[in-house]
Amino acid sequence: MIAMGLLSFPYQLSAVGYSQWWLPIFFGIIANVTIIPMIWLAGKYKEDSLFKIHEILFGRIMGKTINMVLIIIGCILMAATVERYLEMIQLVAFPYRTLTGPLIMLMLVAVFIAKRGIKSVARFCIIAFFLTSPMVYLLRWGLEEGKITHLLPLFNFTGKEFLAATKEGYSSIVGYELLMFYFPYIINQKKVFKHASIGIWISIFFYFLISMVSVIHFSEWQLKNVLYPVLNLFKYVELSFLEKIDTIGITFWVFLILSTVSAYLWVLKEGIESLRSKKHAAHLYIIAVIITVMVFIPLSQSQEEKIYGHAFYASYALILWPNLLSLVHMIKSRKGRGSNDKSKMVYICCLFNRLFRLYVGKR
Amino acid sequence: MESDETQPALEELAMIGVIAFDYIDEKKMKMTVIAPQPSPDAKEHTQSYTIEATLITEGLVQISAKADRMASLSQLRVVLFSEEFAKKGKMIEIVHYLYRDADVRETVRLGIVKDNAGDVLTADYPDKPNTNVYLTNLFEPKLYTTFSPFTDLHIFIAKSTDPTISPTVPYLEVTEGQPEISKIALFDGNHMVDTLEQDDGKLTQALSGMKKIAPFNFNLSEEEVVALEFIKADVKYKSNNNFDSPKITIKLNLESALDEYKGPIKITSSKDLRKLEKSVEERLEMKIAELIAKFKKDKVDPIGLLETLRMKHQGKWTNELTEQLLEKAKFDVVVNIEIVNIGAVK
Repeated sequence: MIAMGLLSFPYQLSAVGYSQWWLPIFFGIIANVTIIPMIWLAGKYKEDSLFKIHEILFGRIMGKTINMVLIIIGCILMAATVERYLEMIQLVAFPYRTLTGPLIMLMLVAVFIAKRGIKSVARFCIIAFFLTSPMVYLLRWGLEEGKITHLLPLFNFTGKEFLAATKEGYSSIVGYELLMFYFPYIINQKKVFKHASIGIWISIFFYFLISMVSVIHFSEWQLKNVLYPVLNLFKYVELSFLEKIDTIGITFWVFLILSTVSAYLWVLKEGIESLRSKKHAAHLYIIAVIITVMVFIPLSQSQEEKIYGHAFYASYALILWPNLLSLVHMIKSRKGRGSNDKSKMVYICCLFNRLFRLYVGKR
Repeated sequence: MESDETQPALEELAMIGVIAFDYIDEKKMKMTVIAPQPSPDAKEHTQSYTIEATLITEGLVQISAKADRMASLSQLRVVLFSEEFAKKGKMIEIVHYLYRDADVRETVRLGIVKDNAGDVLTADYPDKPNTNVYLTNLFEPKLYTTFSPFTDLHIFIAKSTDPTISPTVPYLEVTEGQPEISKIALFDGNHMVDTLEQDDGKLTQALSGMKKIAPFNFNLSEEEVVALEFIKADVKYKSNNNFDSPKITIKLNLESALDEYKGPIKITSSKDLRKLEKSVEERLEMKIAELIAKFKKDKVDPIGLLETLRMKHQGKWTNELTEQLLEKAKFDVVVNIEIVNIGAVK
């Protein structure tokens, strides 16, 4: 959940101005609600990841097509994360260099982590958490130079601004949907909801802290115009024994990027394996090469923004996707129990009817 | 350098510590920079370069061409502007440029110089080891100079873009070859408009919520002089939340120690002390009222007097709104002084 998004989180929320600081809590509630169907569904198919569930629910061909789409989206998301990070590293640490070297190094390490399977990814995530979370202390300097009165008023925005901020800001929170892919590897499946909620709220705590400190530290104009507020907060640190702590902070961020990238890499590998229905070590390398090539493709800034932006919206769809899947699952299991002579049409009608109701209900 | 991809080695960089900008005309400016000379063989420990340029990058290229090393801004500490430069409103362009540059730290301090900013850099300071270090230290906040805001890049950008508050910058005057932070420059958005005296600067700092402020002397009457040192300052704002006829009450509580007193009454009892407190309070209330009247006249608000109103305001806050409200607003000032300490001798 925490990668590039956190660095520019206050910037993405800037549509609501100073009132943004409590929005992460709202996001946390949404995230916590949306994991319920995920876990419910995964609980029905304890041994299978989402790729397998698709094939069971929609049939072989349809399921594989959906998986294909998922893999493409995953590739784009991963490339987006890597590229955004590299752009920033260039800005901060290597202003005089091209980024081929760092990119290859980053991918190599990610492959190395993902190669040993989800267990090593999980271990790396834990290390990354303990190595990077002390950086919260660096926010102290930013907090000292600011106005706490910026926290009020609480609701100074219009509905439109709120929607815009949610649309932009929630893309930083996504990532927890990977739960559906590694669920079968979890040992204590009964307590997943509790553990996942704890995980979500730990991440939300960091988001909350950063957006609150940013609101106190920056003016509204800065929130709207400073691209990486966390970087600027790090730049404000003054230590007597060390200068330019921001460079260290941002390079440390690579742990967070790696934990995200390696998790995506592993999921994509699983996807390809389910697509080809066989396991092979080369899959991982192929994906890594594809991502590297994708980052290299020289697209203009606006095209990139467009593609990556759409990919992030696709991940919103993925978060709501389990709702639909659960529905299909319910219908399917009822069909299994009930009379078999009902025509397929009736089920499709039923499905649409339910979908419609769901849609209306959401409105 | 082996190839154009390598990062230059440290010895190949001229680490600029201080830059000064002077106004030439609408397009051109004079840039003066100083960088430390690391070589022990050199007679002078500071290298200085002066060039004329339209853009900063252009200037840096010119300096690199003049210097034996490549100019870098990553060790920049202090940026000085001449008063003319600031009054013409050109300062904001430079500040924005520096703020955008990821190489430049955010804690670079800003200063305004009365006449020629470049001269401060190129002047000789025989009793100082290094002009770079000297100017950097001059702009480090110390207790006795807290009348000055010590604005850095971030604060200046934050305040100049925030409609509820206007930036202030320390103002340097050179007297007998010695630069001295004598006043505080007041800004209206991007233009420098006026200066504040040191005493007013102290009050401004206290009113904007600073806990520690510099010692204060008062001339209560012809022959009565008091010097107070402040232990703790605490300010509270309260407004009536009425946007048509705003009224803001400012409560300033000061805990202080009596440093010196020269005057007709002998302070022997706590009663005398209360009397003294009372007269100082009155004096301060008057001073603050005068200060606010000055802000109203200049249409600036370096304190953020209207912040309590903004906290209750729905919708966008604009510069016009600040101006309107500042003109309409009535301010009630209550100062409360408690002298807790008169020294170790009775």
